[in-house]
Amino acid sequence: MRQIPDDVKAHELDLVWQQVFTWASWAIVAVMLVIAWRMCRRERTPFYLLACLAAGVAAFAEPLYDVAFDLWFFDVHHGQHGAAWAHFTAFDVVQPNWTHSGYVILYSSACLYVGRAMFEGRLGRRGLFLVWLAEMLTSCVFEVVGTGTDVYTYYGSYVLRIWNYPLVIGVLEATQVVLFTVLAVQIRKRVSTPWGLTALLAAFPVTMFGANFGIGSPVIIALHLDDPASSRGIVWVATVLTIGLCVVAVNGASRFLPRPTGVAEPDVVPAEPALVG
Amino acid sequence: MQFLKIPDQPPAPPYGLELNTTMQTVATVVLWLGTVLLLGYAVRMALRDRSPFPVLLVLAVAVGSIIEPIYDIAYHLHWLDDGEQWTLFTSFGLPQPVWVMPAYVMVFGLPALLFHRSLAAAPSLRRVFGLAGITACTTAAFEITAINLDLYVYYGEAPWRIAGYPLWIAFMEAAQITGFAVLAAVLSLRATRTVHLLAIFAIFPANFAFDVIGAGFPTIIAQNTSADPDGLLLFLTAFVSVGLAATALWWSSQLLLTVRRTSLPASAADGTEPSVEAAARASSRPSSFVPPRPGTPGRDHQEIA
Repeated sequence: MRQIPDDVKAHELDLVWQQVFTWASWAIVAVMLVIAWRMCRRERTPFYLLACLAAGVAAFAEPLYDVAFDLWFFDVHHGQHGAAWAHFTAFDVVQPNWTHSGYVILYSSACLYVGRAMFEGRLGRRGLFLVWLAEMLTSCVFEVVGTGTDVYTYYGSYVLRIWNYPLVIGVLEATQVVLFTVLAVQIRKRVSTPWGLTALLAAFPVTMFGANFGIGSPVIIALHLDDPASSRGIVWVATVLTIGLCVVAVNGASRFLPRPTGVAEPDVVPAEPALVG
Repeated sequence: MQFLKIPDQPPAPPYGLELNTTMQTVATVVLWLGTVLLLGYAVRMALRDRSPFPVLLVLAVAVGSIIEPIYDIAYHLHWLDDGEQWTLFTSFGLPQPVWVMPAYVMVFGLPALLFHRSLAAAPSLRRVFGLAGITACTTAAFEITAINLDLYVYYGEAPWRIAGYPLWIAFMEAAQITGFAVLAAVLSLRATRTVHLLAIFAIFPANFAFDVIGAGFPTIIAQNTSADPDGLLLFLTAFVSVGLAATALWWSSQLLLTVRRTSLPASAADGTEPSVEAAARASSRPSSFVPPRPGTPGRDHQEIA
């Protein structure tokens, strides 16, 4: 089984930054929920609130991500465990409560700022790649702060780190956001009742793991080979391969962007009475 | 704040169990032989269709088998290894036997190779979920056999256990296997250039994680929050996971139906079984997604349909 280095387990949590992460992230979520609520009222759909809820609920899957990507939330203060404001533990990894707010901020914000444009068919392939880059930047900023202030760490033998933050993580997260947002908007296009949008609760975890664990599988496996020191070359290859697969995935997702209002979607069947058999 | 001592979790793999070396030899020989034969069949199919897609599909599954350690750690699968295992590679400290790769090809690749063309030609929800029902049975049979022949175990508390096999996994795998066949059909219809077919190398692992880990997470997390998780909770979360997997498969099916719908008559557009005549009529018309250029994969599918 995986071995978490003792120095990582014993690393002291910065309590001030825990406060900052907890209160600031939940405050941002509160603002996002107000914005989402107003957008829902204006457009008469629960889409935006459900997108936030889907990300928040799926944060319960975070321990799986932590195991695969060697993420460890610090939990020690003055040599004693229990310093993290945690609500549950799985796979031995203590989960701080701000994982939920972090998920909402990082993964559902695209539904808020680009969801409507996408829904109305005003976002093309280039726009989708710009969203991808923006999400990558957001992810980098959020996680560079988190990993640079003794709140959590990626302890694996990653390559291409920006300060402490592995770039490939940001690329995968941005890809996940793009896949979720495109699928969410397509679901919104197709459901006939607001209840149908509860499908977003299923769409989030499947796109999250499809991107991070599926496309990211080369780097996950390479990181956990028997001898990390001798497998550094393999980690490099796997990292570049994973980033390449992410580009393929975003390009593929652009093929499923909704068409502009007034232009029929491909599943709208033109009337062909002569062919109906 | 959490002041209590963290309980030991999740349960440790049973490292001491003995591997059945005779069955290891049988599994290795049979599965690699099957894989070679299947690859030969794929090459023949590729030459006949003038498309490399069948071969790429088999190779994508073989390469994608490196994802197995992620599955093992999530689902508590332990490959028995008392120093006797023929190991392909080790990740997460979990040695992977040499027959994992051919097992992927035979269990996950074979159905996709055999059925993606018929799904592309005449898709319907009944066909997709019928195939899922069959693959759930074949997966369960394969795994129950392997477990009871001492090749591997699913350790720790797990829901719906029959003959050592947590049966809910058969449904998760069925969604994954069938979903891959469906997405392979989608790719074969949407690809307009040969290079597009390489996307199958991204589709296999993404679909695997999409169904097995994404949909499975409620049960997986519940299994790993304690060394002795609540049996009733696991029993219930398994229903949630299977429901999510079925939803994911339904979405993939809708994608295939959507791609095919523009070239199929209305009788098939609602997901009901299209008649052979209707499928044939539809396939005689050019698809909006596949330019009717000779020699392209799309063209080949038009001919096959």
